[in-house]
Amino acid sequence: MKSNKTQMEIMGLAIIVILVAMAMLFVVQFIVLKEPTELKKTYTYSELAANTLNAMLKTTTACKDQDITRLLQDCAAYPPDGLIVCNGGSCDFVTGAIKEILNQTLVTWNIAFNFTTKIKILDKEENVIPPISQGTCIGERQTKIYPIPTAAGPMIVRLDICG
Amino acid sequence: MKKKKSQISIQFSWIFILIAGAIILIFFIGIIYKQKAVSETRLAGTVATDLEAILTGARISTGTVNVIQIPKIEATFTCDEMGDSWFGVDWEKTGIKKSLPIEVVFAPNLIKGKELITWALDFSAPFKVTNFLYLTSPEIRYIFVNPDEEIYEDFPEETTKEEVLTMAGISDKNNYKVKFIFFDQAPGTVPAPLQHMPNKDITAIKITGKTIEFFEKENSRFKSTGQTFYITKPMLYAAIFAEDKIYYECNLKKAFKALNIVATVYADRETTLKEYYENNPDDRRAYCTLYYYEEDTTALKQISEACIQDMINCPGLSDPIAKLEHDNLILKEHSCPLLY
Amino acid sequence: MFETIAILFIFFIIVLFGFIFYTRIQKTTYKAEQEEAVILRAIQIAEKASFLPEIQCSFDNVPVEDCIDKYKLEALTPIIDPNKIYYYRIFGDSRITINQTYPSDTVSWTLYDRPKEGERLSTQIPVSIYNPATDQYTFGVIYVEVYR
Repeated sequence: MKSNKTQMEIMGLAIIVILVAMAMLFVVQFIVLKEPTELKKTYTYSELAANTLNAMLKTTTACKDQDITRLLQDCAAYPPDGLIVCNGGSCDFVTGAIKEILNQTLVTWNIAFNFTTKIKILDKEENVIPPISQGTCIGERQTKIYPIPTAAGPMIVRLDICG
Repeated sequence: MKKKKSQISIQFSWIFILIAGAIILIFFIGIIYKQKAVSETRLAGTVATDLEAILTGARISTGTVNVIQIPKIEATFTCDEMGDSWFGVDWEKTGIKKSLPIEVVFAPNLIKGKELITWALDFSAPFKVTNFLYLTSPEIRYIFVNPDEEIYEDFPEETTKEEVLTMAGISDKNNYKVKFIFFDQAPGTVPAPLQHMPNKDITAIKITGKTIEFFEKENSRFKSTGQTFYITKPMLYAAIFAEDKIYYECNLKKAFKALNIVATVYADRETTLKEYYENNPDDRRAYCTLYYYEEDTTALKQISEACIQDMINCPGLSDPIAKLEHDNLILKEHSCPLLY
Repeated sequence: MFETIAILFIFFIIVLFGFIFYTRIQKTTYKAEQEEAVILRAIQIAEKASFLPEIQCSFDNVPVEDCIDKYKLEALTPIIDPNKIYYYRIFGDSRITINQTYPSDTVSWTLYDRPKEGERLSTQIPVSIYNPATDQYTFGVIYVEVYR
């Protein structure tokens, strides 16, 4: 009888120990091991593509005071060099300007990206200027697309911020 | 003897069990109560932080009305004659409060319920200065008496608003606060079905031209608590949402402080533009120097400064605001860089 | 009876361990929440800087996103210090600089500077810098450094 009672008490204790251990396990699994949200990265990357592209396309260049949008339109309409002339054609100039801007920003900040300008010619997509990129762009990305009308048809300017 | 000893032992055993059980229960109940208090404080803190984030967001985006689900809390808003402005969440219980020294927020002194309505409008005079944020609850009733249709239509649909032609027929709909908005007519008596409500929970404003008079309930009548002014439509809506004249003017002072800073920036900008064209007579827009009248931006800067010192100077802002609107139009006609 | 007392004793020891474990977890969670609050504050300050009406471009009172008016920026910079209490409420302990990167990278403005000892969180926001007199845009970056 006494032995039975003691055994019951020990069993009760064992159940409590198991319950506490299970609770601790759940806490460790769902709270301690939970991956922290990358709040800042999510926010800044989502804004970065839009901000960079918006600001870049408005930028006035030294090429006859034309902005980057205008030079891209000229390059798209009159391949391979463009009609506007300044130290070479508009295509070379605008490629250099965009490279310089991206070098001073995304490249310096070590952010992987992919910049393209595409136009559809006879159902085939062509690059207006050569794509510019850094790093590999696999997995999650934040994209900003800017359609620009040109004499040769709509041009899609796209910036992907990767990672 | 042995039987007697055993019986006493059993009784002592039970007493021991009762005491031990009571101690364990008290221990755990104590923990539960402590945790409840900690959780309530934590929740109030989270709501306060989230509300602060909403106020930040409202500084950036305007025009839209948002209905936000909130935990069942009581938010208190205060802005007094000394300029002490803050909001608290379940403040009396938790002590959680956040100060609002520059945020221009118009709200009743108490918002309670499960939903919070936010609405932000640009305050421009005539250039964008800051955003006015209006906060209220669907449990607060707004009664427009013989209103201007445009003002009534633009008032958010999400709020509990109604328009009436007279005070007759107004019933009690069990709201914890009621605000009357009168247009060009005296408030008169408080409708009988609402007379049982506490005096502080029924307020009114009367709009006559550019003057606003605030009222509060005193038993069965409305008692005037002072007159003030408005210049733009967002200021009129501010008076509707604000608890009283003190709260309204306290927040307006913050807006005028921002106006003074922005007016200074625009005055300097105008001077720089004018000087640029004077120093570059070959520029294709050099003629624009004729159309920059620096005295109007300077006047706005000076009157806004005087307005911060004493609100009695504030109606004087209307004149330079109208002049600047006209100046901007002239610049637009002549294809010159605009003032704003 | 002694067995019962012994069991109760062990039971309370287990509860105590559970309680210690719980407070440790609470501490870790609290630290993580503090960290998130700092990051949220950094994002809020960056947003405020890029949408400040005092420097944002506008045309006929319509604000333009991702654009700073150069003349407004130059007018505001000397006004910040006399109104530092006002701007402290907006920017807190942080440093906000605007650098022009294209076409020339030698132009820079320090809009707000209220440093503090300790770690800082950096955010970069590309913007256009507009010159209203010449009607031209240059490419710039707003650097927001928030101190913990």
